[in-house]
Amino acid sequence: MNDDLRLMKETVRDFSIKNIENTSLKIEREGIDRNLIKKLSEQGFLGATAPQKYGGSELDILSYCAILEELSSFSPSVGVLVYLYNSIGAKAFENTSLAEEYLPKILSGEITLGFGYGDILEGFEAESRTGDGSLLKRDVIFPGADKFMVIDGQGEDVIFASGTIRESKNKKSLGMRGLGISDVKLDMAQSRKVCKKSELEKALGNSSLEIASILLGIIKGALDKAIEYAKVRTTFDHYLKDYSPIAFSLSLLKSEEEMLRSYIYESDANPRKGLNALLFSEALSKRATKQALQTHGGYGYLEDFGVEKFYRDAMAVSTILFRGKKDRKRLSDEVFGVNSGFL
Amino acid sequence: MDFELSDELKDFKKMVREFALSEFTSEVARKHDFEESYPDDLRKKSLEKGIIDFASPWKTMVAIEELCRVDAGLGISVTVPYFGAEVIMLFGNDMQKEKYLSQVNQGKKIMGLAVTEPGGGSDVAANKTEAVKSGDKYILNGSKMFITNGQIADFFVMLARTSKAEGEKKHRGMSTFIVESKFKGFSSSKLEGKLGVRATNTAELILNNVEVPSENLIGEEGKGFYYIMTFFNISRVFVAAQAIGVAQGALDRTLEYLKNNAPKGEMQNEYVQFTISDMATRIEAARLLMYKAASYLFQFKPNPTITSMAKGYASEAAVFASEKAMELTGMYGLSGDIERYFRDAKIMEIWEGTSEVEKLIIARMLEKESDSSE
Ligand SMILES: Cc1cc2nc3c(=O)[nH]c(=O)nc-3n(C[C@H](O)[C@H](O)[C@H](O)COP(=O)(O)OP(=O)(O)OC[C@H]3O[C@@H](n4cnc5c(N)ncnc54)[C@H](O)[C@@H]3O)c2cc1C
Repeated sequence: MNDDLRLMKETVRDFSIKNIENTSLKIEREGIDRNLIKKLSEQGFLGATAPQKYGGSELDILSYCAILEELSSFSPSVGVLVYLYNSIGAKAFENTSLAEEYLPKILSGEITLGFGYGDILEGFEAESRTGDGSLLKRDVIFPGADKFMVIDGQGEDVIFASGTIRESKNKKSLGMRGLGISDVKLDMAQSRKVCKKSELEKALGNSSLEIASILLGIIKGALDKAIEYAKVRTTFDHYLKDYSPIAFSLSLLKSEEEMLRSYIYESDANPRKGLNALLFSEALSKRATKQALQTHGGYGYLEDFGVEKFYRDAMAVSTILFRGKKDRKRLSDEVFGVNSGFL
Repeated sequence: MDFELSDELKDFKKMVREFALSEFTSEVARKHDFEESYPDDLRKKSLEKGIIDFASPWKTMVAIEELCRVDAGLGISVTVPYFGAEVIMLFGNDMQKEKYLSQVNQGKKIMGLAVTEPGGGSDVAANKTEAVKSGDKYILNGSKMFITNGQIADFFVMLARTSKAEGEKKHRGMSTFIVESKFKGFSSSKLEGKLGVRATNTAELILNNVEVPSENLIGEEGKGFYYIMTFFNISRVFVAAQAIGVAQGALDRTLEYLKNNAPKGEMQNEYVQFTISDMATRIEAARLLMYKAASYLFQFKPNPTITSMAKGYASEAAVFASEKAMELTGMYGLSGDIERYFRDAKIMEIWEGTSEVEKLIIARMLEKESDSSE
């Protein structure tokens, strides 16, 4: 990792310690507030990769990954928000006539943006028309936002519209509770077309390394907590770290984390790099967060200790951003060089 | 060797399943999960309907599995009001059985078991709560952590230290008491924000000079550790049943999705087929281990090795199955009921002996057993 990247990571870390660490439980319970979104914008994180003319920072991909990793290691919800703004939101707007009007407002935090693209994920019927001509969109991420970017009723285009949460589901989302997931009713009268659905799909497909960086942050956040806990908690007159099963598994997971990090930040451009990192991090994030929770015993099961959120979020990111069989197949196709893994 | 349940148990199992399917609807399960509220109405209903038959351990085990299969939070909530009863049943005197247990059996009272402390759950012998004898009473001071039914129980079977911990023999100076929640100096505060089994009530208990009459000492002074370990050897079979219920329920719902809601052809994909085969195989293996542990135990020949294997393996099967269920059902599972199985499953590897503690027990027993010539 070069010095610029190191410096970037330190900056994001300092920012997170100041603005996220102490409120991370509040973020889980009450959601990300506008104040934090403003601060993320002021630091240039919200539009990390977006063009400067729209208020973005035009950072390179690895600096962007560093931001995602560090933010996610404190609050995966915040990491995912920044990812959605950059890799999905700004990407979809970028070359459209809407960019000038809306991107600066979005990237400055003046207008907040929610995302409903569950139907990109294989075969999921995520919406229906309601009688009054509005569109009901299921499972929208950040449903409390001002505006939404969703797939339209025909499943062809990505549209931009205002909307309101239809009804509280009486259910907390599994993960990314800082953003929330709920059904949203969109006002179609004012809706505008942004781009083709296939372009959004491409943007998601091209952001594997970014998603891997979020997962890396989750892995780091969870393991660091477990390692600290194992140093101070005693059972049977010994520290947890003294027991070989705990020490061996946490240290092996930590070395896998470090190998993943080196791989993500290395600069060779292997065309499979993103997918490699994504599939590796997806599996590792589940194992690491599970072990981290387990190491905390009963305390791991309560939100106060801030470790169960990583367990939930690893699964939620894996469900919402990672596309399971589809991404596994993409990797197989690349490795075999022909269509494979379809039976 | 017969691997089938008796016809009577099969009918009972069917009845419990029907009850669970009609009462533990998605709405009800989601509501209690969301609000972290205890379903007292369902507790009463399950008693009225004969779902809970405390006199038959086989029925209890089958009921726990079938209820948790539909929803673990609710299933555990309605079966846990008796948690700790075996300690009184095995080691208590007639007065204690009459005054406390019979009330619980009739559903008039709720009980709990208070062992874990803030400083330690796995290392039970490190417990610090003290019970000092004073005339015909014991004075209890200390605190208990993560106690199920902590806020709603009328009384607890509680482990406390009656003589100072001495080196290696720390487990010797401990005793068990029946402590009523209305005793002066007892207080509890609810622990909120659990990952799963959120319908169950969990609390921290504080004991501030709580006076417990000597007649509430269970069995003999100094034998508490042994009583509690004996109890865990029983209750772990029931935790295995909880875990198998969760695992089976996750598989049921995955199959339902694959058949009715998944994109066409999903069920024909071999990756999917291999995954569900794996889930089902582990569930079946766990269930066989549980039946074996139960059949030793319910014939009064407990086998702690098999019991720990059953509890440990079933817990892992629950976590595995619920994780795979999420993977196979994706957004459908995330926005529906399957994600709850994923959150509920993890407790199985933690309570009543973590997976690590089960492995320690198994290894110790193997070491011991390998000394005998069999
Ligand atoms: C929702 C909930 C309900 C509960 N209900 C009850 C109840 O009703 N009554 C009650 O008494 N308790 C209850 N518990 C407590 C539960 O039984 C304990 O949490 C459990 O026994 C673990 O203890 P601990 O949390 O102190 O973890 P610790 O003992 O601190 O263990 C932390 C981690 O270290 C591991 N570990 C410990 N020692 C070793 C070793 N020698 N080798 C390897 N690994 C080791 C453990 O397996 C665990 O992963 C409940 C807990 C929860 C979360």
